Amino acid sequence: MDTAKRSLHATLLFLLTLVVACTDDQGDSSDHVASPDSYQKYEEKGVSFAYPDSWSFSYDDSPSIYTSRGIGLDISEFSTITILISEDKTLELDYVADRLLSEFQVKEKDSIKNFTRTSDLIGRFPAETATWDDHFLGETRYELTVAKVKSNPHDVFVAFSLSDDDIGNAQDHKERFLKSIRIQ
Amino acid sequence: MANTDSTYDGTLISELGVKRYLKGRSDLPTSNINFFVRGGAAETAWKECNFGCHGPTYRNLTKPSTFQEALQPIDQFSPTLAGVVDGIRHQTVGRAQNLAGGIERTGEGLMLGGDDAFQNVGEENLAAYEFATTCFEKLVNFEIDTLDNPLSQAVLTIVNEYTAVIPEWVLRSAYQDGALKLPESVNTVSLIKAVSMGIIKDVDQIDLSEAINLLKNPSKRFAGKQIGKKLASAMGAVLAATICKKLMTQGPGLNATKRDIAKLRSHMRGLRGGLGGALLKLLQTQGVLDRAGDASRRLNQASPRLWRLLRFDLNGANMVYFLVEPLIKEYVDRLALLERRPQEFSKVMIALMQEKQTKSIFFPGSAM
Repeated sequence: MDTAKRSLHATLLFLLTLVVACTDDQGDSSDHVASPDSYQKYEEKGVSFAYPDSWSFSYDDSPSIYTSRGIGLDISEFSTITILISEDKTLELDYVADRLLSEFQVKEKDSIKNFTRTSDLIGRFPAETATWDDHFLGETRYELTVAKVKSNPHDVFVAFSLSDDDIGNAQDHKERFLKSIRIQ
Repeated sequence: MANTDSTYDGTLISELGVKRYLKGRSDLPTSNINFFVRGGAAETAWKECNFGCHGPTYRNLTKPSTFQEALQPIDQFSPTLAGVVDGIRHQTVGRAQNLAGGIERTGEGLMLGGDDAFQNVGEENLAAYEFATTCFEKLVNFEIDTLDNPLSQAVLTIVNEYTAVIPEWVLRSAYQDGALKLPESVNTVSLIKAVSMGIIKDVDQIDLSEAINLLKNPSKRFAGKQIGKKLASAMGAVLAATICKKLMTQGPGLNATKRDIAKLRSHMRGLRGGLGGALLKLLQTQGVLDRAGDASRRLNQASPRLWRLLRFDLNGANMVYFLVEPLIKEYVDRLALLERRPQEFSKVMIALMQEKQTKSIFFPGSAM
């Protein structure tokens, strides 16, 4: 009898462990929604993700100019995605968004209009999104979105730097791309 | 080829960086100040100094504002600084005066003085005007990640100046801690082109080849007690090229710059003749020259030496500095700190190493 109880407890413990493992601090079952077949797969040195066929891989650098590791994808000549993995430091979403936004010099340019910045969610991922119009030699719409996708084992952020048509074209892929990211 | 001259001071090379040390050695015979003096000897020399010791050459040079600014808080500076300030004056400000007819009368100052001044470029400022014209033409006509583009030239020049002054002990410690990951492959052609264009100085192709071979062989990296000054300088150039490549490809902010340049390029196709002048007028009406001039003056104030390199050696690249200022401002600030307060610069490096902030040594300003 004791043996049966112990066996039952062990089974329950095992099942509980499985449940916990499948719902870590950032994950839930919705993470495992399969990406479309047309998506390309990337897997290198403990990082994997899937991305649309129209995007192209650019670099995987350790260290990147920002964090311990950075992976870049090109959406077009003027729009990019950057995955930032911080292995040695805890970073806040606001801080990362501020640092990347400062590179666009939105405060310094006279040609910048209609600047907005909002906190929102992409799926269940917290994100900061800034949008603005630049009237330098005609109007161009810009959008910078920084999302935090992991905090365990490392902080992982994704920055979407988009402009004009790429803003609309990338919207449908953002959440699927974020959900596909796996870090070992 | 490694130089094994034993009269070089390894401590000073480590403290000043190999490029600055070699430059100091070459300038020492014509200087009235021994700016390599350290410690108690420097304290004594400074206390006894009444400026009479500096000789007629020193007194004959006129006083530009940048030098005056550097001298005003001199009492707060270390004795070591005296020599450094003197060096800045001789090497940077004096030459700039000769070439452009005065620090105050630069191209950006002229162009920002109003439409009339912009349209009527005086003969004495023709060189500055030509610099700006040529620079913006190249900015529009070449891809920004090629060395023909002044943006890449400016970034590589500033980063190379910075990597040249990172003390050898910092590189060694960073490497031994596994924090410095040297590139697995190096774009040799690009490096040689940088040397041939004069963007990387005091390094020849033989040094570069040897440095690249050394970097490809991990067991030899930093294995020797003394790498050799010229070889270390070449390794610094390789490191600079690697950092520059990352800066020019990884920063999302450059997306907007690329798009602006593409717009300019498209716009300029419709113009016939007088491309340079038309381009400058266009940039002025769009407010770009205002920002360019402001950033150029900030650079000049922070580091006259860097400003001179961009202005004269790179034919006006100071006017496109504003496009990458957020990415490389910290490099400039640290070089300015080294020029004005070298002991503080050293303290910064020590603190960064102790705190394991290695990324902040190699990617100052962008590392998070």
